[in-house]
Amino acid sequence: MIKGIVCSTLIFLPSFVSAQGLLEVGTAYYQHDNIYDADAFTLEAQLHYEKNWQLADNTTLLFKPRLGFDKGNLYSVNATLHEKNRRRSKFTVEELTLTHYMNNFELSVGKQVFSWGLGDMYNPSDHVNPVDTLDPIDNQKLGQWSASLLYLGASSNLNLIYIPRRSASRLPEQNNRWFRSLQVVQTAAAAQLGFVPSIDLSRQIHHHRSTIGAQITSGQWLSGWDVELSYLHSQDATGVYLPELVGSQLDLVRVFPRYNEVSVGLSTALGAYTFHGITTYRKTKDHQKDDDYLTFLVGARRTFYVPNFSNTIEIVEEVTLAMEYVKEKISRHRDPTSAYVNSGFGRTLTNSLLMNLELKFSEDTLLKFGLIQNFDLQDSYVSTAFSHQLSDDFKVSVALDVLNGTSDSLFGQWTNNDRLFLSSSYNF
Amino acid sequence: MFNKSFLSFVCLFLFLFVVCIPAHAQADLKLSGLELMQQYQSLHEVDSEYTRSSMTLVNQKGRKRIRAMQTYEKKSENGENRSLLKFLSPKKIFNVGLLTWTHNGEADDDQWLYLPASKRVKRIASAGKKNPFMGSDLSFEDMQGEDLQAHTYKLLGEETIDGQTCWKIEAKPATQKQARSSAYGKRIIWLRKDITYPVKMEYFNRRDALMKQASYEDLVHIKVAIKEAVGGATDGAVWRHNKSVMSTLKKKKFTVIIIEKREIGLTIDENQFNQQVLKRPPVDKP
Repeated sequence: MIKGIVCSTLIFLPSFVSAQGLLEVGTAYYQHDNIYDADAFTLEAQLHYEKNWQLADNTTLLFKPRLGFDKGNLYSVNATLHEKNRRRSKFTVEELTLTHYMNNFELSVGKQVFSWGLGDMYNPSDHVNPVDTLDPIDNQKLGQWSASLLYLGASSNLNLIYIPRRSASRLPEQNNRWFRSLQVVQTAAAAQLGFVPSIDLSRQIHHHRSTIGAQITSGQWLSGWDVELSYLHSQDATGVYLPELVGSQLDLVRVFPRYNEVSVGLSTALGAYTFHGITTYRKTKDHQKDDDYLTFLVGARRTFYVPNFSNTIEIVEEVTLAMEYVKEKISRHRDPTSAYVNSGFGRTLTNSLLMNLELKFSEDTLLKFGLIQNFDLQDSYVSTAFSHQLSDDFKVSVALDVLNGTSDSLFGQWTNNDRLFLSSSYNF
Repeated sequence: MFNKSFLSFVCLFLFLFVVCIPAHAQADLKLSGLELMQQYQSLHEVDSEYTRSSMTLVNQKGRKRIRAMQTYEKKSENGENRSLLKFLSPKKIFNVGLLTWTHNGEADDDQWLYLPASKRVKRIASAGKKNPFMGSDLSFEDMQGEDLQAHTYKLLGEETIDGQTCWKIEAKPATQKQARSSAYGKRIIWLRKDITYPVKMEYFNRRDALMKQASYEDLVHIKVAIKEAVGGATDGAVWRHNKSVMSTLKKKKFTVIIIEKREIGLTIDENQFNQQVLKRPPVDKP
């Protein structure tokens, strides 16, 4: 008997137990001293595991835990997945999802991670999950306890998401080398107060509010185009700061404005290129707290298979170039009398170019070059990574991250965090 | 000169010769390259099919890489094909998927690739279909079915391959668009005459140089459980190959695909061939 039959129709569901794991071990060397973290070397290991069980003919359970370790202060036994924790927990269940498949519907309940948007590198509509920015260069989505209903049409889909209590994104705190300097806020307050206040970030307005999301995707409304429409009613996961003077201390209270966000994305292929464009409009409920703004993104990608172009170049097999440009346009500014200030971790790409260049020397060897250039404050992040697959399961990589810019810019504040990586990963 | 009974005998002989001549021999005399390809499709095309296979990549140094994959294919209501391919192993590419909607004629085919690490489905450019698929000797366009409207077919003659007489057919892109999106200036297809099934194919680049060569081996005659599922098979059975070898001649590397499991005539809804389903972990058929 074929498993997964409903009304004699086959449904593509995971009808067997599948399990795989990934062990990553890496060390990073930071060339410069950092006032928040004196360790020049870090040693980090992560063990990812994923297992899918079939509980009944049309029901599966996905279990995706992660075990983390480091020699520094990134992981802790006691930490819980809370936005105020300075560390990640050593053991985390990243996803735990029970899914029931029907012919036209798929209902999933549990801790889930969603990916929205048609972008290659950046997706301005991909806000369903908050992120862990304890290392903002390597941020990870945080799974959310949620329910998701997916309707499958022949060429169009509708996905409804409900998150009863969404958590906030985790920002690096003062013991972390990626802590964002609040000097700008401090200086502004000093000018007003006549003295330089100390800053306390420990206060935070409770975040856990519900999120509702709807996403429609289609591959056939327009022939040759992918279309994605989405709506999100949520609470900003990064938040803004409300400065409150308590004696000589400035408490920066992190608050999370509620907003409605709509997005339209289009993607197509033309000749050798794929193109995509996304427009997202966010309307914040309280103009004291934040702006209303539009984000535009346009991007293109092309893969050059070198033997199709040249008979002489033999060292490189394949070159993939992806580029995106992002621009933010504020349609309604935050109330000028508002005391709220941005935390600096949300809305980081406001006039920016993103580029990703991959040179594939063989099926085993890859060189990646990445760039984010912010034009407004002239800051940039450049990454270069070389990886080699020693076997199907074992890979070694070396990478270099370089951050540039002035101290008041996003990447410029972290110029001391240039780093060299060595890492290895094993799939099992 | 000849008496009437002799002439009657000759006429009867000629009549019987024409009537009783084997069907393929008649086709031999009359059918064009396109008609032979149409005959091949109508005889062996099915409405839906599942295969589970191993793909062995062998490089110039003889190093082997083995991948396991499964494919579901379905002919949609308008006669176009949809297929969904998933990798089962090795672990690093588990659940990588390729969804293809093949359109007839001028329209570009739609193809999407799913990479589980990013949880995103990416559309593939039509010209990118010339590129190798997952490091193999097959390109994305080799993974698509034969589009008879997008090519012209010319019968070049007959040749014997492994003791079997074959029609030798030249296939060329029919339109500028097809020519631009394909890596091949032409292909030569050898169809076995007795079963109208391909056993060999050669791929030439636009400069008419031979690039790749494919052979289709271990042919099997499969009875189809649900006769209605068979497009044009008159005897409820179709031919398939259980082994194919694709060689890239210049690089001296090749890819061997062995079919380990196959099922024909599945009832699958069209909605199982869309981008959201592409994200699901692979199905294992019993």
